[in-house]
Amino acid sequence: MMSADSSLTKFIREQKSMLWRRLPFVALSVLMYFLYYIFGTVVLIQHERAIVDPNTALLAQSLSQRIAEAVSAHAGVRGIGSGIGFTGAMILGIQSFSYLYKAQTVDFYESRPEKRSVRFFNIIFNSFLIYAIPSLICAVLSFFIAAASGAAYMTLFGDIMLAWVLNSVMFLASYGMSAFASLLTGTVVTALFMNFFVFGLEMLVRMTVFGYRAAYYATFDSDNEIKLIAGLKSLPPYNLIKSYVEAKMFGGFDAAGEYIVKALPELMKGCGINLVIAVISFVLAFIAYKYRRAEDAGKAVVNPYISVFIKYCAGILFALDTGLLIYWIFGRQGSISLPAVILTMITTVIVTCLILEAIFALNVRSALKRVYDMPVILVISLIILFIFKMDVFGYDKWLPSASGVESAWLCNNSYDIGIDGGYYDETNYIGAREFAEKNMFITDIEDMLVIAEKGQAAKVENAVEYGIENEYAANGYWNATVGWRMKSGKTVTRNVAIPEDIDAAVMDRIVGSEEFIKGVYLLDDPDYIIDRVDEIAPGSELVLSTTSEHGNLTGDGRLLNGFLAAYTKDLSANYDFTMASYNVPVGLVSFYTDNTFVSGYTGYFQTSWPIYDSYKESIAYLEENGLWNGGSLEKSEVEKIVVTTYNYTGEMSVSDDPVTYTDRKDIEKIMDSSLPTTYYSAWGRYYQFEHDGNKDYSIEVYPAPDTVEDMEPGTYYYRQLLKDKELPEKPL
Amino acid sequence: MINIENLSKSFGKTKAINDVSLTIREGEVFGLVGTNGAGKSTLLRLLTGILVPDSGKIAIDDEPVYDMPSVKEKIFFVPDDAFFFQNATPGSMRDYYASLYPRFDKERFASLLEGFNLGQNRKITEFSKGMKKQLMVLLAVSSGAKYILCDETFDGLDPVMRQGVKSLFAKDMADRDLVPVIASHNLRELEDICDHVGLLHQGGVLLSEDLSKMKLNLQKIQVVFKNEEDREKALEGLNVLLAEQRGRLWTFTIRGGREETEEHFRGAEPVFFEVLKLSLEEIFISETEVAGYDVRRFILD
Repeated sequence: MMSADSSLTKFIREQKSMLWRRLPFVALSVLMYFLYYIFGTVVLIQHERAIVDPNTALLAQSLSQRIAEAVSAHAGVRGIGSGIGFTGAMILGIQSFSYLYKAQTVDFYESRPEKRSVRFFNIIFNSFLIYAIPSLICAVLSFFIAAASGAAYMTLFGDIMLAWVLNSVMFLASYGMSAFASLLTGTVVTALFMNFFVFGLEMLVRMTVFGYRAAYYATFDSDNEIKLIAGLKSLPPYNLIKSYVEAKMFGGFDAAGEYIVKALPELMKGCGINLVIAVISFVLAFIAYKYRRAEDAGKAVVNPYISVFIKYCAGILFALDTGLLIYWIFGRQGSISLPAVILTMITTVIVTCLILEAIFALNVRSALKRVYDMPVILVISLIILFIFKMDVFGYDKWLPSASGVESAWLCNNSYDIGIDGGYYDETNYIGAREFAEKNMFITDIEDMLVIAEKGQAAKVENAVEYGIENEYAANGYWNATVGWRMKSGKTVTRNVAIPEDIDAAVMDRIVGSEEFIKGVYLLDDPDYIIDRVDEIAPGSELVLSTTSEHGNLTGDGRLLNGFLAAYTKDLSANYDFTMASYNVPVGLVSFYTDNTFVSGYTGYFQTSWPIYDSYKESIAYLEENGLWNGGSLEKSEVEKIVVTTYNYTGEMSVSDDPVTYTDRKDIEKIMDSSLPTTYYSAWGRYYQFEHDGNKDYSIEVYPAPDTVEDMEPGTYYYRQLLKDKELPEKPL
Repeated sequence: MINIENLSKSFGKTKAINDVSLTIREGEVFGLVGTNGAGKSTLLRLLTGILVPDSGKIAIDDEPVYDMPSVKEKIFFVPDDAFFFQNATPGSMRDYYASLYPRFDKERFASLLEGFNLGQNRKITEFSKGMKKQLMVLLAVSSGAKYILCDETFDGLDPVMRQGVKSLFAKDMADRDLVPVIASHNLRELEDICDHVGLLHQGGVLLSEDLSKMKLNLQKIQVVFKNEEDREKALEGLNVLLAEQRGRLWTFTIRGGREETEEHFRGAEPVFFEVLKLSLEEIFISETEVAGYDVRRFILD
């Protein structure tokens, strides 16, 4: 009986036959997607139902909305189902061409009357089917399960389908890379290593560069680099993680699908990159397949040049990384550091080369092959080490050319939550630095360059004197970060130590500028805060509170608009570097939500504003509304002051007996010689509090009765002694 | 016809096939003999299009074979250690090969399975090595491929099965011009089946001849002469390849026609004279020893 089939029939029959032969992988795919989509959705729905408590405010939210949100976060574009796809891609990538690892199977497949390119395409397509069919069916079913529970939103369906498309493209990219890596090897074990190498190389290189910059560059800004690594970038799985993280940033489920619309540009960017990677990796995989020979079966790596490449990459990276590890262990031990690092690098290079050669030849006795690579790898590693150590490329001295900068930002790293910075934005809290990055656009580049140059030079000097880890201990500097938004679209940041002798006029022009203030204080859109409160803590009231040494007052949060108007005027009229560095705030205004926790939700909102004595508009507004009781204590309001002197001897400090001052003259002298420390100014000249290096003073100021609202017995406030000032003689 | 010209293939520094030229004609069974490592399997894998030659040409019916499905449909490779899918049965392998070979004859396969007592639905993992080889041969014969390349296929088959396979080949050669190419390290395996034998050694061809031609040109004579003068007279002008003496009985292997040789000896009026039949082994020993090889070392068990 003879048979003759069309190409399509042949193709379909071959696909069916392959699926049957790859049954264990089909079963694994079905199981994983069943567990993730179907079982996971059922569990989530049960969970949502279980936590609905009729006694909580959650009844305000419909159950169907909550189910939709839960299923969307799980199976939609914010879900992590792509992780299964990535793992599956790697497994299938290795398995797909594993027939090439054994002469028996090579003979079987390569003797078939079939074009090799057709076989390649058949394998690729079949692998995609193994991923696509179970994942698609399970994803659709997860929607129907949610719909049956009341969450029949088409947006949810669109979300799940969009996620499936994105994950499918990611699967193709990862699968292509894995197939390419596997086609470069001749055994399953080395294919696995090659996969780890291909997928891990980017991360390893970035981590190594990050580690060396952090270790040897004084001005290195780790926050920015961590963001670069976390937000990576080019290859799967990192770009995938990035898409996932970014999609999370665009809020929760809404029937109109606004969160998808917001996330779409980023998601599409990631998808586009994956698509390009998929195409490139399939082309590379096909070339590797086309030129791969049957006799490569059983070899560790098919091409000697690839072996050499891997050996050099792994040798150099491992040497640098182990060297770095030793640096972090012995780094601060002075002279022992460098010899220990070099010795470790030598050992690592030798061990790595021996192991890799043994693996390449699948024979331990071949470990000594190409021994001449060892010194070459070591020399390259040492060159890289010294490039960082000696800052050959001038990283710490780098300054942009003014013409290449679009705008800049400057963040004093002393800004802290609740004081001069720190706001909630979208779903996450953002600190002062993130706020500056988003909102500060300084165009006075010349002055910024002056600050950066002085700051970087001081940073390097401090690092030399104190060690790169301890340079923050240097007194007389403001540690800050300078960010440059380049016209090229790149953002470059450097940590700086702004010295006390910096030109105050330059600093005033920057710190006092509207651009700077906009990047520190949330002034423009008070409605944003109100909307935000409604969104994250529905049903809760916004509260205004002022605190000072005269106690706490609380009022209506709806005064926000009026307060911000007054505060903005004060900032324009008073705020600059000189003011902020020679004064400390006398009070603090906070806005926060009263209902901070609702079952299942943390919907807390808070932001704070420092009040300086010179902020007359703000103080007047607060007084008008009965929310200001005087700021810092007046001399006359102090009943007594207790001073404890600490004497430092080496690491130890011994305190004298506390001395109590009740004499008015003594109290006035101490009040004149000190500043309140209830609220710090980020630009405060704390060095003024320096005095005898071997002494420290604890100054406790006790208010007179009835001067402070709701004063508890024994209430006191700390003050700091100013430089060059003296305490009164000990009373008799 | 398979035409191989100056074919070479190396694996690293090892020359597996070195400048081999051979012709495998239609209507004959081609035997490929050589020790383990002589290059037989490499040559078959080159002929099947599994390997790519470093240099030289392979033409199967005037067409190249590598990555040419239309040519590969004419070839069925029966390796020494055949691969079967996990949990495969003869029936599932039949379906698999039927999808690849358009002329696959399923009915014939079914009847052959029955004839060879191999169950259609038995798991192949339960088969002995010999049964697996039989199955591969049956698949090959049923595939309708013109060229069946067998690598050590007869090794491990019992004599009855060997005879059965030979009969199958003979039938298909008669019916549809099948050309079996049989590689073996043992000459005795090929003795009664091959028409043409190529001897491979260290990647090169030592010899490639038609057996009939070799047999016609070589004579093995046992003779007892009256005296030494008669022996010298009888051997005058003859191309003696081998001479062996046991007492007065001489055994000569002589290159030349039978009649001419007989005439020489009868002219010397020997006491005893007989023409013996040459085995394939003896033919090879004779031919290769002349060339300076002790063939017994590498092609006889």
